[in-house]
Amino acid sequence: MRHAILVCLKDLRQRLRDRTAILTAIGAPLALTALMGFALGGSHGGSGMRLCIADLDHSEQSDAFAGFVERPSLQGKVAVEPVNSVLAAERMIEGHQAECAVVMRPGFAQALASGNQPSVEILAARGEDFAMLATRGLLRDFMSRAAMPRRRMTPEVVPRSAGGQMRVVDFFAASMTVLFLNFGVLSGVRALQAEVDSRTVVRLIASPAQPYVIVAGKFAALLVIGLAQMGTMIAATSLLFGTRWGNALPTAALMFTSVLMAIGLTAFLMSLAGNAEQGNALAAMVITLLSIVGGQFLPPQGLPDIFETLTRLTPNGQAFLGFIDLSAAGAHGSMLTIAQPLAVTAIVGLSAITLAGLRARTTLRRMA
Amino acid sequence: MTTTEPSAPTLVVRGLSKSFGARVAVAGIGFSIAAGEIYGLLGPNGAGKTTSISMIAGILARDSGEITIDGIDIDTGPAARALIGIVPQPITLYLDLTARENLDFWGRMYDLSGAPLREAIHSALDAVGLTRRADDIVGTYSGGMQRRLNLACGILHRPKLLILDEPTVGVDPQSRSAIFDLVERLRDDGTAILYTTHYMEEAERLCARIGIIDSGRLIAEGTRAELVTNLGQDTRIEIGVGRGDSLERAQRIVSALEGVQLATVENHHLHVVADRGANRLPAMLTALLNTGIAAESVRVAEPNLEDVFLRMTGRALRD
Repeated sequence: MRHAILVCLKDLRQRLRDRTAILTAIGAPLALTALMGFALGGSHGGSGMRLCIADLDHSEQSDAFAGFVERPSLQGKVAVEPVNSVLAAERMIEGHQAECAVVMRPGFAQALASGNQPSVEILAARGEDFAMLATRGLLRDFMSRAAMPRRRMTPEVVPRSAGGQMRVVDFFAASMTVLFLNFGVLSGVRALQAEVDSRTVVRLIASPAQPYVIVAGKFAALLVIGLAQMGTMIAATSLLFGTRWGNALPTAALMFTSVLMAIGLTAFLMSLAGNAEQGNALAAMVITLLSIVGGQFLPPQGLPDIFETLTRLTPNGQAFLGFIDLSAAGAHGSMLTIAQPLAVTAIVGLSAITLAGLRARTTLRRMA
Repeated sequence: MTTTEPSAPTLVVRGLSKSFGARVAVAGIGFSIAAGEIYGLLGPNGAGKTTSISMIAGILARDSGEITIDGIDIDTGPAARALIGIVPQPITLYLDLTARENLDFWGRMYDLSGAPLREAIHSALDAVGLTRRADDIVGTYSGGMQRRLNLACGILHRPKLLILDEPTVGVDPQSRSAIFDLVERLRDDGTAILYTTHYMEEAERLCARIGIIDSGRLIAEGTRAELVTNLGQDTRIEIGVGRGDSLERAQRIVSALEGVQLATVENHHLHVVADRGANRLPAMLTALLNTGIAAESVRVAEPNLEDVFLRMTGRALRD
């Protein structure tokens, strides 16, 4: 135990001395959260989104859209203003009385029923890109439910970008925290590989410490790095941007499994490479790819449906959606709210750590 | 060279073997090192030195054989490893920490703490002449300074057995001399030292006994005098005959003469090992002259470890 603590403290001391890594772990995600949050959030900020609906179809289906947007779970997040013409919708937007407008042309319901592309448009005020993405998400959700009745059986999807509790800056706080968690942990894993490359690990194995104790110390250091980074990000975004992360206990649990996932993922990728430099490049490439697919740069609701499915297929996407769900659930968030993200991140993390460990053992045997 | 009287063996190795798949890396080697003795393990690259050292240090599992350190089986793990100090050939230091932080970490890993640790760090820094730079980041050190600190990390806990794997590779003469002095002091203090090197003069200066390893086997062992005596009446002759074509022709001519054991070309000179070589020198020079090669210089010397090594393995030590 004493040796494990010594190894852990030594590793932490080395990481703290690496200012670039600290900047990458904390400074960069905070700066990006602020930059992207406020750039895409525009003047809309944190208040509820104002949405014009111009129903020119006057059908049962088009009328239902207003009810869909005004449902109880969106109360206070989306304010609907019905208008009777495209011109009226445009005036509302130009007069800063609404951020977005949905125009449902005649034939909307018929096209929906026949499986054709319905005639519908979204108008958005200049600079309200994020509101437009949110409206697009709502409309797509509505249309997919209306066109495929069986999907009405699926649980209600909480709109993640419709203003109100979940603001743009909150979205990016969660996405950047998960994204840079991987990069922060990667710098620690890279240092482990560097220890193998420089053969200081030979001296460690030759010391009286048992090999499993050395591994435990190094794993503990990575865990501390990951948890400290996430904790700092959560505290900083709460203080600087007023981000609400949800209930403490499930948030802490998801933090833990997300760190496990990040350690496993980066360690496994590093173990596939020949040295620290190659491993760093490979892991950075995969992390970036997973982050793009995992919807951490744009909300999946604003993109084609396939992206939302892909988000759920990536472990980092699961972690990210878990944090978003917890934030949206507010005081009602519990372990059950994030059961799937918790399970996926924990299983992926532990599996990848096991694989990386097996590969590392082979490498060390070859090296000795 | 001053040596203390060898006492009970600190390191005993018997029948040590290791294979990697079908390749036999070490084939049943055995030797012992007494307290206060420096044992040189010499061999060309790939001979099995590093594999042997790794097994002795408890880093690599062996296939068969026994290793005891001060009577403790290496398989006991931490207890035996605590008695060993290892100085690997690469610089195994944390370059982003200071020298003091490196020593503090390694000292604690060997269960030192408090005043004894502070004293050990002070002594080690003093021994390698790095006291004034103790709080500088190691990455800012010169290669020689890093090499000295590499050694300091291995001796901090005053091991019974110190394993030095080519500790002077790439260091300046000043640092090399400092390392020699320190190794001799450790020997005088009773440390058993296993020393590998590619530099024959180091082995001749430091090692009381030498083992020559080749293809995983210990092919010769003894003191310098014993090894050289085993060469018989062989004499080493160095003949300067100019460069290029004449050098290679001279090698062919001399190799064919009676009594010549070995003729090699090194540093633009012909090196010949021959039985009673001084007596055969006139015949060599005549044979060369008859083919139009005039010797520019001739030097006759008693055989040294380099000759022993060459004779035993057919290769120069640095091959």
